[in-house]
Amino acid sequence: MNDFNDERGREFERVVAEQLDGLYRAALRLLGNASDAEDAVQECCARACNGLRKLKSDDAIKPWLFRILRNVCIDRLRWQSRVRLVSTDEADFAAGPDDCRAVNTPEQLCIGAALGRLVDEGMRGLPFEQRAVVIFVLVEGFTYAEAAEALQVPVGTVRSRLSRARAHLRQVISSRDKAVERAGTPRLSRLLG
Amino acid sequence: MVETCSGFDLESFVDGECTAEDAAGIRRHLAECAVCSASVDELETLDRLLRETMTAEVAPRDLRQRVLAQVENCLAPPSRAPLSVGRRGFAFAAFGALAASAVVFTVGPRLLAWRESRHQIVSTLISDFETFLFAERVLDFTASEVAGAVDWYGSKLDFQLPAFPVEPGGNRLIGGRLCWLFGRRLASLSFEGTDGALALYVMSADGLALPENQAGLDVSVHRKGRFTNVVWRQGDLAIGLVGDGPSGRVEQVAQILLNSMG
Repeated sequence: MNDFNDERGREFERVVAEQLDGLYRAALRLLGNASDAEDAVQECCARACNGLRKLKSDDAIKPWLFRILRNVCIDRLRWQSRVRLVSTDEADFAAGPDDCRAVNTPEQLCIGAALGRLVDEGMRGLPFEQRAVVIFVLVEGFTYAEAAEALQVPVGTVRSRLSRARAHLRQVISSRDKAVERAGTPRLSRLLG
Repeated sequence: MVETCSGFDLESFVDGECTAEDAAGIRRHLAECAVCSASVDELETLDRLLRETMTAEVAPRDLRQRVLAQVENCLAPPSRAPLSVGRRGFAFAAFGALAASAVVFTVGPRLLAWRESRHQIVSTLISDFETFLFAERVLDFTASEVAGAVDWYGSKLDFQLPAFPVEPGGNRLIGGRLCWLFGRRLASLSFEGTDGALALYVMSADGLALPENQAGLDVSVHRKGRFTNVVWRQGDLAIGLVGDGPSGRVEQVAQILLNSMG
C-alpha cells in the first residue's frame, strides 16, 4: 500500500466500517447461514484490500465492495456444491434474524417473528441474482445504476430482476397473510403501517 | 407485475428512479387513479417490510473487529504489518494471535462430536498443524519455489509430489517439513498469507481411511474452532489442507490446489 493515496485508503476504511452490516446482511441472505456469511465478509474485505490499488480514483467503493462480495458468495456456493460439510460450529441463520430484531411488546415480538419468517421464506424462494438485487436496492439503498455496477449487468436487467423478485415476494407474503387473516388474526401487512 | 394503468412505471417511481418530469406525471395520475394509488401503497408496504426486517440483522461485533483490524493492517506501511516472513517458520505475531484465541477457546458439543470422528486424517492433521504453530517449530527447509520443495523432498517420499501453484490465492510458499503420520512419510508444505498460515499435507492414500464421498461430492470440509481441514483424494494421494483464519479462505485455496493438481 506504499504508493496508495492515503486519502483513498482512509475512505476505503470508512466505507468498510460503514457498510459492514450491509455486507454481512447481504452475505447472510445470499449464503443462508451465519458462519458462511462471516467468512464471506472477511474474504471480501481481504480481496478488496488486495485489489485496492487497481481501483480507479473515481470508482465508487461501495458498489465495488458489494460486487466483490457477490463474487465471493458465488465462489462459495459453487465450491459447496462439490463439498460435504462434515462438521461446523455455527448455527444456521434461521434463528439469527428474529433474535436480533428490536421489539418491545409480546404482540410486537410475535408480529416481528412472523414477518421475519415470511421474509425468510420469500427470499429463500428467489434465485441468487434476484435475491442480490432485492438486497442491494431495497435493503441497502443502491440506485439501479449502483446495483448494475455491483452486479455487472445492465440497468434494465436490474429493473426486470427487481420486478420479478417483488412479484414473487408479494405473492408469498400475501398468500400467507390471507391465511393468517382467515385464522382470525389481523393481517401482518396492515399492522406494519 | 404490479397492476397499473399502461405507461406508468410505478416501481421505478417508488424506487426514486424516474426523471423529475415522469415523477410529476405519475403523481398527477395517482391523484386520480385509485388502482395505481393502491399499487403504490402495496409496493411501499412490501419495501418497508423487507427493509425493516432485513436491516435488523447486523454484523457480529467480533467480525467487525476482525475485519477492521484486517483493513488497518492492509493499509499500514510495511513496518506495521503483523506478518513478516522470517528465515524459517511463520511470524511470531501470528503465534500471539493464535495463542490468544486458544486461551478463550471453548469446547462445545459440536467439537466433542468432531473429536469422535473416526477418520484420523481429520483430527491428526489439525493437531499437527496446531502443534507446529503453538510450539513455534521450525520448518525443515525454506523454499519460495515449487522446484526447491520438490528437490528437497527428492527420494524422501515414496510418491511423486504433484505440481502445485507457488502462491495459491495469494498465500506464498515458504517451505516445508517431512512428517511421519499414519505409519507413512508425508510432505507438509507451509504457506503464509495476510490472513494466517496454511499447511498442505500430501501423502499416499494407500490403506488410509478418508471421509466417505457421497454422490457428486469429492471433498470434505472439517472445522475445529479457528482451524479448517479440507480433505480430498487426488489419484493415489490423500491431500489435507489445514489453515487458521476464515474457513472460506482455506476452502478457496483448496479449490485452487484441487484444480491445479488434478
